[in-house]
Amino acid sequence: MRERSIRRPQARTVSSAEVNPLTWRYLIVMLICGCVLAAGFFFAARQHFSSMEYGINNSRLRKQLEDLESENRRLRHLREVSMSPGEIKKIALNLGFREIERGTVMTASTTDMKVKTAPALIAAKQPGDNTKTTGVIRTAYQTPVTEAPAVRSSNNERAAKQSKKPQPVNMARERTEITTIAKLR
Amino acid sequence: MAPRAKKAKKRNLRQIVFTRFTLIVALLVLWMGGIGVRLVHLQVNQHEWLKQKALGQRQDFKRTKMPRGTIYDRNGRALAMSVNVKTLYADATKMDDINSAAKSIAKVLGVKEADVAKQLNEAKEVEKRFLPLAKGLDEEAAQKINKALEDTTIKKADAPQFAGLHWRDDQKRSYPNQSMAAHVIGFSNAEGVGQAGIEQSQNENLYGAVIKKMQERDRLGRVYDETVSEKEPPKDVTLTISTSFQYKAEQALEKAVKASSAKSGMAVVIDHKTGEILALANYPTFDPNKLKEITPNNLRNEVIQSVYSPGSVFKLITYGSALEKNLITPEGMIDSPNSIEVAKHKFTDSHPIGRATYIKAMAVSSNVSAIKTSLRVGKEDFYKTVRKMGFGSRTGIELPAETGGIVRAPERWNGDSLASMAIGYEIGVTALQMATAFATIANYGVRVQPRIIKEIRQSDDYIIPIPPPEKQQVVSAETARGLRTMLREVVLTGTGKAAQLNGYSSAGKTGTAWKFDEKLKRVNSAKYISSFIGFAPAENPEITIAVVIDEPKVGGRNGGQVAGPVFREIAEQILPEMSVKPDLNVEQLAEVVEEIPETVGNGVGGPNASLIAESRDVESPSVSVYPITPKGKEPKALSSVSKIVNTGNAEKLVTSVKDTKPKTIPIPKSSVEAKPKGLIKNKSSTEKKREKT
Repeated sequence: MRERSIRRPQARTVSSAEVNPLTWRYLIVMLICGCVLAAGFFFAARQHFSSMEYGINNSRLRKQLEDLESENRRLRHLREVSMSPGEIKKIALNLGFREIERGTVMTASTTDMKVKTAPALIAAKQPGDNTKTTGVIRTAYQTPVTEAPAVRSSNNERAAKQSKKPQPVNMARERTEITTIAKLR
Repeated sequence: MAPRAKKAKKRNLRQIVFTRFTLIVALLVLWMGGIGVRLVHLQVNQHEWLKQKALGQRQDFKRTKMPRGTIYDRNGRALAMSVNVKTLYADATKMDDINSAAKSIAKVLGVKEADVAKQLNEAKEVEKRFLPLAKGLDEEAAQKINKALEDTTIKKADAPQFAGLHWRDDQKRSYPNQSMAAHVIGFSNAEGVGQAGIEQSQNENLYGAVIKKMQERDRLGRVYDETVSEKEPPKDVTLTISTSFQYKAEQALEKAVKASSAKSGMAVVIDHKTGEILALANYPTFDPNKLKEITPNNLRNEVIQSVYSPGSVFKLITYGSALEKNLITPEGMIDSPNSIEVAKHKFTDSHPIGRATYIKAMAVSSNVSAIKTSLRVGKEDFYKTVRKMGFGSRTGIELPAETGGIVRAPERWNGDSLASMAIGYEIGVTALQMATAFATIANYGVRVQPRIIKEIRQSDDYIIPIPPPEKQQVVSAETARGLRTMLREVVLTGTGKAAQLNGYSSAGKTGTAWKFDEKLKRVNSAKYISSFIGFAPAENPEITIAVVIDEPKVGGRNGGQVAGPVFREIAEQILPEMSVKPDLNVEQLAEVVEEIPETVGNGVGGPNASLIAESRDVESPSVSVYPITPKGKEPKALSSVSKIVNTGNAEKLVTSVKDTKPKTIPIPKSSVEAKPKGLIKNKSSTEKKREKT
């Protein structure tokens, strides 16, 4: 038998040599695509959870805003309640203030500063009564008290002793006033 | 043989592989097919059910209400506002151990454990998911409860950290000033719908819309997405009322009503230049925060809903129509006999004035003079003036259930109707109508429609424009000036001396009328309506005040006596607050020495003689000038009361040196006889002596 030389397809080896790099390329592309896809999924998931987080924060802040508005409203309400005339009156009465009737308010005259003693008051005074109305007007501010020298203190003591004694001049003046009132009557 | 065997073996192996492969593929196909079928079943057949279940798990629908609009006074003080409150409720289906839950809840809320347990068990049985446990709690109380109920073992997104317990946001309508201006503001019910006053009339503006919220929650219950249906926010209403003026008017009115044991009282303060109502008071009143205490008696806004015969205050219209027709002048003279008969109806004066000026006639409130004047004016012109002044029609104030009063057309008048109307009978008016009429005179004859809403705010930036009030020249400025002169004299020398102000001039008219009795179907001489309506300062008026006291029983009955002091108290407090400069000094201040009694009643005889046979023209008993004092306190004569008078530069203490003894005015015998027995309690000492003798 004639031996036939069967030619092994070299192209196979060639083609395999040619195909192999292509396969690798495919594989690499697929891998890249897979990576991109995975990365896409990853980013999408990240975005999703991030948006969820934002949403949660957003709703929390919205709730906080509502609560603050509610609190603001509550405080305004409290302010209005405490400023209502009825409430002020109630508190004032609780604090001991009294309601005044119309016509009982008396304002001191600012033009006439002289202290006038009522005649009835003068008549009621006993002859020996030396209490005098002083002309001192007390103000909020008082001059600081300094240490008085010894001489002064002795003078003061003398003055105090003198004040204990009846003052004939003043008494006489008062008596004349009383007699004038009696005459008038 | 060996290759064949090898070949066969190889073929068998291939077959096995193929078979196995086919089997696996078949299995896979079956598996996939099964999944596919299941998926089709779930996605098609059970689609709706699954969708609802999924949405139910993550979606939450909430219906919340926007806070109802706020009502402010003219200075921005809130008169009515909604505040958020919380309701603690239980979802019994989420509670595993009811008894222990009930124990904890009862301990925190301070209620009986057994009651809570019973309610929770009942709710669980019927799968009730909303069982309110505590309502109307503020944020502070809610926080305390949250802290007390905190269970660290439970994972829950919302407070309180307790299984099955939740909070629901609610609203409560609150009126910070309690009963102040209650009739103006009104109230709204639990659903937030206005039931009276501004709350009712402005319900559309104030109503808080319902907002639908769709919340999406994660597995822990945290909200991560929210869809809110946008709605227009409610509007805020600003009134013309001033809280301060309102309080003062209410205080003065309450004092007067209590002192005179009257049935009710009303007071209106109007800025006649703008028509703005600064105060509108009623007594008795109610607290809109306590809806259970509201009764038909105290709910009615008498100022606009109650119709009464005005009496002598209506003489303003009578003389006004005559002045407008140039029939009279204030300084002109009129002969005023003791009585006048119109259509067999005899009208008498308690104190005949003889020949006097119209100013004097008005000052002493002469019925005969007013009737004579009205007869000169004539039916048609009188009716026209009455209508032009706004009687018989609603004023248009933005409050619900306003009445227009009763004014009959001239065709339906009787022979004596004109005479009766001239002195304020056979006509029904509201206090607001009367106040508006006086405001017209104070405003140089220009009638400005009264209003109580100053503005409506959509938001801080946008104010809804309100049309300006209607203005109409009702009577000429000359007529108004003449009437003001006459009204000034009423306060200076006439029946309204009690309305004299310290530091300010005032003008006004007193009115004392018998009331129409529904049961008797005629006027009842035992029931009075006393009023004083005036304005101040007299020369350049700034405010108009109307005071009406219904059925005063103790003290005087005359409008000057009962309502005059209320006018004075309100005006004296309000005018300085309005920065109105005093226009009187000590020398100009008139001294209140004696009160001129007002003629009361609608005469005798006439077509309605049978109706008013018993209600004769009665002069009120001679009276001393006593201010109204509370029970148990001795009255002081006004003449001896020290007064602080602002003289412009400095205030001085002025003490009148007049005789402290109250002066009495002799009463005609006929008047005393005609007086209904046992009806008038305030008898003067002179009268008592006369009765004894």
